[in-house]
Amino acid sequence: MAIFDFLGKAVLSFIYDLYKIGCFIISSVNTLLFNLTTGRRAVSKVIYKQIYFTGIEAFYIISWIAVIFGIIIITQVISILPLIGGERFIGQILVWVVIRELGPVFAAIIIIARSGTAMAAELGSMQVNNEVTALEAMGIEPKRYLVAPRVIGTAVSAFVLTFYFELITILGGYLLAGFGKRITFGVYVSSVLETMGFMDIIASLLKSIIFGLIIGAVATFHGLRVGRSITEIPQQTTQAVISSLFLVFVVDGVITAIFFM
Amino acid sequence: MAKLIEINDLYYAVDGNAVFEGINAEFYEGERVAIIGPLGYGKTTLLRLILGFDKPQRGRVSLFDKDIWMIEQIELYRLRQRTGVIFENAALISNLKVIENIILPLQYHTDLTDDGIMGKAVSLLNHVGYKGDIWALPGPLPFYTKKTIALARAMALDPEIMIYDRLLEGLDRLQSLQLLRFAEEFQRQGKGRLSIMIANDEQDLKDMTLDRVLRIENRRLVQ
Repeated sequence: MAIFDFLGKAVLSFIYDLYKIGCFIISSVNTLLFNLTTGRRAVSKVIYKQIYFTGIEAFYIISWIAVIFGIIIITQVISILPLIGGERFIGQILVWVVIRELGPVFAAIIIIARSGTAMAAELGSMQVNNEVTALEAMGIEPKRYLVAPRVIGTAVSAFVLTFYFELITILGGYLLAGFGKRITFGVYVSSVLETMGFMDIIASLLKSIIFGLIIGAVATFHGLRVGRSITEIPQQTTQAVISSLFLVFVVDGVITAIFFM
Repeated sequence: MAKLIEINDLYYAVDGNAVFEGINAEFYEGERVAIIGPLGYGKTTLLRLILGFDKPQRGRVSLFDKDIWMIEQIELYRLRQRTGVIFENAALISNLKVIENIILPLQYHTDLTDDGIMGKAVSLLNHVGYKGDIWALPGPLPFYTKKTIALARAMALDPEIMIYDRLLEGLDRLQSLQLLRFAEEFQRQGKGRLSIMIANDEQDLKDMTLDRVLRIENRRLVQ
């Protein structure tokens, strides 16, 4: 019975956390949308900084990962499909694997590892050093100045990085792994473009935006959960990574089911 | 003289242990008041209660004639703009440069142009004697320098109430005198400004002219 008791409590606590994170996303974005003027300049600056850190500074690492991932996928596809006469399926496989599924998920994992951890640790340390209280004492709402710009900046970055990741995986992967093989570049590109439907692009980009919102909200939520002790920072940072990964996979499954089942 | 802060019959407990009971106090414009209490007597807690960070279980706290627990959150943030606080650890925003720490409240709350904000921020830093790089991050700066920057930041919105939470803690005598001089000057410049100095010991404030001294004793505030 003890195991059921433990599992029940864990599930309930997880659902409660999910509810709080949902409320957190809604209320922080709400704070911005329903009051566009307050602190506009200061808030915009934080959004730009977040896009720079999460988006632009991640281009280098995401390019490498995308190229390596592209080489792996394209080597497999190009080596297997011609053997069974399935060259025409190359586009379909790439769209299914890269555009629909792994592009948004990989970009999200990289963002969680790079920016989610940084955001949680940064806000946690601000909590410990009384900086969040100092902001409130200046009449600056933390949700408006610290949370909402990070959530929005992460969502915008996730959107752009996902698109970039998919592009580099498909093009870069072929140039490095498939160039000079039995499938020509023209056949390869037209095969991908012919198969890619409007719904594939919408699903991929919708996933990226939702993943970005989740990562930003979960990281800031856990960062601001830190109390007065410095030892809570690594605990909440780890928690932010676990919760973000879990939510990203769950939401990925849900969106895939809605769009493609 | 207008009443800027009023505390009525305040009771506050943490985990069932009373920190304050039956606190009554009034703070008026133009006053220089000290709140003295040994370590662990709840000075910072009282500051948090006055600014609405913690909610008392009983009693009322009014800021600028408004009961802070009866108004909207957004209104409370507006009231806090009229209050400058210097925290014991300076609490500078660590991911902002020195100048950006001063710019932040001005950029957030005022319609001044970017040039106007920059000019004001630089002049505030000059006023408190900051001679370092304005584009440096505040983390590695000496403690005294951090406190001067925090002072400049608190002065930025020309607040009607200034609260100095253990301003002189961790500073030598020369540095303490310098900071007290800035605080005195600022008090004189603002007509009707209320200054509240929070300290562990009255001796800490012997170089400052005070109108009243309140002590925290037996969970109450006594004159």
